[in-house]
Amino acid sequence: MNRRWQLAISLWLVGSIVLACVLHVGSARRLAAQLEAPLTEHLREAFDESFFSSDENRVNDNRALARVGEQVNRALQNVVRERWYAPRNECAVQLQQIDGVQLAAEPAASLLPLTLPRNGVDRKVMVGVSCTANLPILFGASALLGALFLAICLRLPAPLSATHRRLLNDLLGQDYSPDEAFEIVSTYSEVDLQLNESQASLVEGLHQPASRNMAQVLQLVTDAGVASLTPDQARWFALGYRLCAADKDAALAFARHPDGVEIDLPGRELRVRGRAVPTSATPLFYYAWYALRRVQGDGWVTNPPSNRPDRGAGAELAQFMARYDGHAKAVRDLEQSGLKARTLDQNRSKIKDELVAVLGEELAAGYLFEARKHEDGVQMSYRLALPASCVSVLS
Amino acid sequence: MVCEIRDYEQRYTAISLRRAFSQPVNYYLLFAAAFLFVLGLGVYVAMSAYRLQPLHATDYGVQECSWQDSANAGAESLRILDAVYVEPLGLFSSFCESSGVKWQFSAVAVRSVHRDRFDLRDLYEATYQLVLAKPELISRGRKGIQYELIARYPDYGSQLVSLHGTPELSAKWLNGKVLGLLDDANSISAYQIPIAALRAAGLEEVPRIIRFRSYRQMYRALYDGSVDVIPALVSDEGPTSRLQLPPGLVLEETIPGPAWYLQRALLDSEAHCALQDALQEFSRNVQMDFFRRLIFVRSCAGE
Repeated sequence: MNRRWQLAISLWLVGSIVLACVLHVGSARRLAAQLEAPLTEHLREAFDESFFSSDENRVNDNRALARVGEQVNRALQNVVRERWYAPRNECAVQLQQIDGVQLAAEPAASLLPLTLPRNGVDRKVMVGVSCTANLPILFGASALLGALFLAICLRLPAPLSATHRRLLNDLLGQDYSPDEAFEIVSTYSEVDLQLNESQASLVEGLHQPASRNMAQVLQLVTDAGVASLTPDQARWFALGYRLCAADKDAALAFARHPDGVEIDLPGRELRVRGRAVPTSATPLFYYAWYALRRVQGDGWVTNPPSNRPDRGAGAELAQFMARYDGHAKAVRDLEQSGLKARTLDQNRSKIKDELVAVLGEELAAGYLFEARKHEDGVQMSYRLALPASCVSVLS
Repeated sequence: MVCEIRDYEQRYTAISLRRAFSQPVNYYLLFAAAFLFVLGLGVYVAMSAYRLQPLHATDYGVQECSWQDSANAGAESLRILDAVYVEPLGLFSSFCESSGVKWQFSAVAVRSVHRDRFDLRDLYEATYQLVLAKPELISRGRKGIQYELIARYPDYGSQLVSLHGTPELSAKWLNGKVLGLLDDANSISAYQIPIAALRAAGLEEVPRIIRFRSYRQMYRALYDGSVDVIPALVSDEGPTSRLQLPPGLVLEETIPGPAWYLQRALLDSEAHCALQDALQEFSRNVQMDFFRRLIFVRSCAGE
């Protein structure tokens, strides 16, 4: 049972007790108020002044008081007529005591004190009023209260939590209308809206206030599969969601795909996490050449000095490119001039542009190059940032 | 189109209401409002839940008994006034159980009054058929009253008695003592004579005085130690009498005893005889010797 229902039941129980007490006490007071005047008048007529002493050091005719008191009590039997809906019923009213003379053997549940002036002295009279609780009526009142509470719980959703209200305020701050914002927020439970890091980053990445797509975004991020993504996977998911035309399942597959690049040389295709990234042919070959170096060794390729192209590497690369029908001019340049640092730099830059254009700076970084100074301290060396295990070259 | 607008309005209203109650304060205020509604309804209902039966004015000073018998259907009720306050001695039961009285009357009503509350108009208007009173009370209204003396009790005396030995009218004895008196200035033996004796001895201010509305309470106070000394009647009470007193200081020896007075209209009637029988029965059953010594002054004609 959720917290709202527990609270409602607790409130009902407490409310029922308070209700029963108030009705019990209130009806007792009401009865006492109704009895006071007619009873005082009747006692004034019943108890002659001759039974009472007139001052201090004077003792009443207690036997006469007791005798008259007994007759008054007989007259008081059934003096109270309760209606069926009275909270207290079977009420008995009896004189308990008059000016110190005890009249009733059994004490009453409650006492109504009256004052009877006799012979210039105010006499204390205690009238006992005993009623029994009308349990069906008290239970009925409790049941009515319970029915109203039940109606509230069934007809109205739980109030918005702090999490709901934070989101609501955010949406209102982004010019959502109050009703729209409320409807979006109230669709989800508090637990659903307690977004983890991955979900929060997805909301930030996918939500476009101008197009008021928070409802769709929340529906997406609260999906169990999406919610279970790691922060890194979430970034890939966001990308995949855009690339896959808002196909959640495809984006999920993309996000969960292991990190890795696949270079399909015959097909001249670069695939990142299984998804093709459009690239030009020559940069692709250079990327593949770096990839092969990565797979076959530590992967570092040192730029040749600017005044001394590497003819051996150039011939090797030319042969590599020619095998896969590389661009004839590029092949020829390599054969004739050798591998130049500038050529390497240009192609790396081109592949970077193409990867960044599709993956974005942050995600593309893992698929680009890392650099270091060669041990001669002059030339720069570069290699693929990906580990060898994530690189696959299809030839 | 109209339906669409209406649906939109209803939906708008529903959302607005839901928004209003989405605030925890408003939401729980709704519970409070429900509670107050039920409470208010309950209180409103409870306020009108009780009615009182009217309490009719009744004369509780009268003890009554009645009987329904075809023999005395339509007969009047016997009204007796006890202005001596012997009610505790069983006066009422004696008349209610008398077969003669039952034959003559349809009911018996006995009123015992304290002397200081006695209304002389009851004598002038002959409200009661039978009256027990001190002679000095009746003699006040001698002209015009319709009552005749039929029986009397013997003369008696007034004395002071104490459980701490025979009282003395001296400051030494009375100092620190509590004196009980009858709270009725009409009482000769239990008020007038003791007060006169104290005043004559200059001792009125010495004892602490407590006044009692009835003889019974005054005697009980002596025995339970609430008072040290009380006035009591001087009467030869035997061992079977309820009244057992130690010897006291006699203040007066001859005080006229109370007497029974009958309405003149009933003299020598069957009712007179029935009442006489009842008085004899009372005398036989009463537990004080003084009230057993009833002397019939005027017997009914049948005897």
